[in-house]
Amino acid sequence: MSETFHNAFAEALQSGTTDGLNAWLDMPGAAERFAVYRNNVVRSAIEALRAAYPSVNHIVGENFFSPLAKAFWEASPPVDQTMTLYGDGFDSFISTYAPASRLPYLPDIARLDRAWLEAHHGADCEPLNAARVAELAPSDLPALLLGLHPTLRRVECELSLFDFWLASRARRVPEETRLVPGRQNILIWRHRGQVCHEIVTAEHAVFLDALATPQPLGQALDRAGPDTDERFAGRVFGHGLSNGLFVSLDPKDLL
Amino acid sequence: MASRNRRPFVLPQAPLSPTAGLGLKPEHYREALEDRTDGLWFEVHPENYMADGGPRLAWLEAIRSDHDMSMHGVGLSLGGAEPPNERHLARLKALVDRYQPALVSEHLAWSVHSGVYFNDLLPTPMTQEALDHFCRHVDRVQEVLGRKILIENPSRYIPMREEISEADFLSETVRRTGCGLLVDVNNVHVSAHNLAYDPIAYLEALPAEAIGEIHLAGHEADEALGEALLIDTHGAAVTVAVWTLYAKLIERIGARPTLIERDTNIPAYNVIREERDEAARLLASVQSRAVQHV
Repeated sequence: MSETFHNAFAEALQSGTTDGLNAWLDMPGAAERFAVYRNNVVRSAIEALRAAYPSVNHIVGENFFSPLAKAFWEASPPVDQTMTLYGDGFDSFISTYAPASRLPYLPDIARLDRAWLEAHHGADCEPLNAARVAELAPSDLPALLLGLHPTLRRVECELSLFDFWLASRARRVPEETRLVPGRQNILIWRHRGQVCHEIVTAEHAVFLDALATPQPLGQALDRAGPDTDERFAGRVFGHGLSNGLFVSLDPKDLL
Repeated sequence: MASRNRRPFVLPQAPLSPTAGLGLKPEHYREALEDRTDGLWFEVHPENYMADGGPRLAWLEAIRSDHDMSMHGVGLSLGGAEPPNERHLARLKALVDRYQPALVSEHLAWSVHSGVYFNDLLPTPMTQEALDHFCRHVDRVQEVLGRKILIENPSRYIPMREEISEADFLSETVRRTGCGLLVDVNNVHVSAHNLAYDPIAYLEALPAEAIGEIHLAGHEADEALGEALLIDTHGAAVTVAVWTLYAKLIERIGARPTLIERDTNIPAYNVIREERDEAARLLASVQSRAVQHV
């Protein structure tokens, strides 16, 4: 009996109709009261998504966001008891959501919000100590297998969304609302307790992707492109060290 | 219905003193950290801290280092048809091991079914079969955590056909599993109002010695049905009716750790601190009279 009850209740929560529950309910008008549970479940999912995707919410407004979030909940209800990371796949869902088709950049905004959320709650990891690297001989460098910070995410946007995204996150009306065509590679990660974000060049992005595969530093620099040189190498290496992107040297773990 | 022997449990190293605490909200982290009021403790939903890392866990660690803490789970779905999810249980154990809360509690409710998580506290049917399942689930949690937990009474909105009363369901769970009870006085008030029963008789039917914690919170009238249906929103101040019920309860059973819960419409820290101080005064007056009677 218990399982039948739970089946019927769960079905009623998803469909909103209580016909299957009649055997257990003990009063006329129970359907109106049942609505409390359904409202709680739907609202808490909507509010969890609103908190996780503040820029999307700011851009489309609360009245547009709520039905969008409800439609996502119907398609992908939470499967995990921690609601903190609920919303995986929200970006792809938005790209199929007809009412949002006039905002083709919205899925990328959702990807940026998602990366921010994952960086915020991702694993703690002590960055590589620059002093330790300074002790290495220059000839050791190409073979280093640099481990990247577990919170590091890269989002590639079709349009120049970075400023627009940041303004939306801060609930500001952006000064420049014209979105210029042109890809942007945006890095998002956590450093010293704060979520950091910045635009990097396409070469820099290829370099970091190569490190992630993982490839040794020398090969990753080669992969970054024919136009890269010593200055590029110094810049991306220094950037990673000073911003906490690198967490380990591996494999021999120094001499 | 096989009866079970009570198992010995490892008691918390430092049990919570019967003082008043506050539900910890991220909006109040800094004030909570700096608030060294005597006897003040904090309660958290462990589900909000089941992240791999990040600032929330760092705040929790800092606040825990100077305050007693209680963990109040919302996701084990003990009143469900399915056993508690082992992965979730392992994550809870990791948090309990790391932060060593004085108390761990959960609900007579369910929220997981066939792989879907319904983020609410849904009603468990008051049947013998559901009781058997519930006790097995509580046993499993206590086995994994290696300690006894407290079970909170639900807020109820719909009358359902019952084989046993809720107070008997909870009392029997205490008897079979050795767990304790967390009495949410607001839930008692809301359920008694919605289902038309006597809240005092309900409270008197619970085993007083098993009550290890009390919750106080606010409720609101339903948007559609008005005062006929009270909703446990945790979004308003504790009402006079709930304070009165609380005062009578601790007068009868003695002081217990008492929490002010606020989860929506979160006001400034000092506003809920004042409610917490009100509970602390009531607890202190019950304790001082208990001493005089000795």
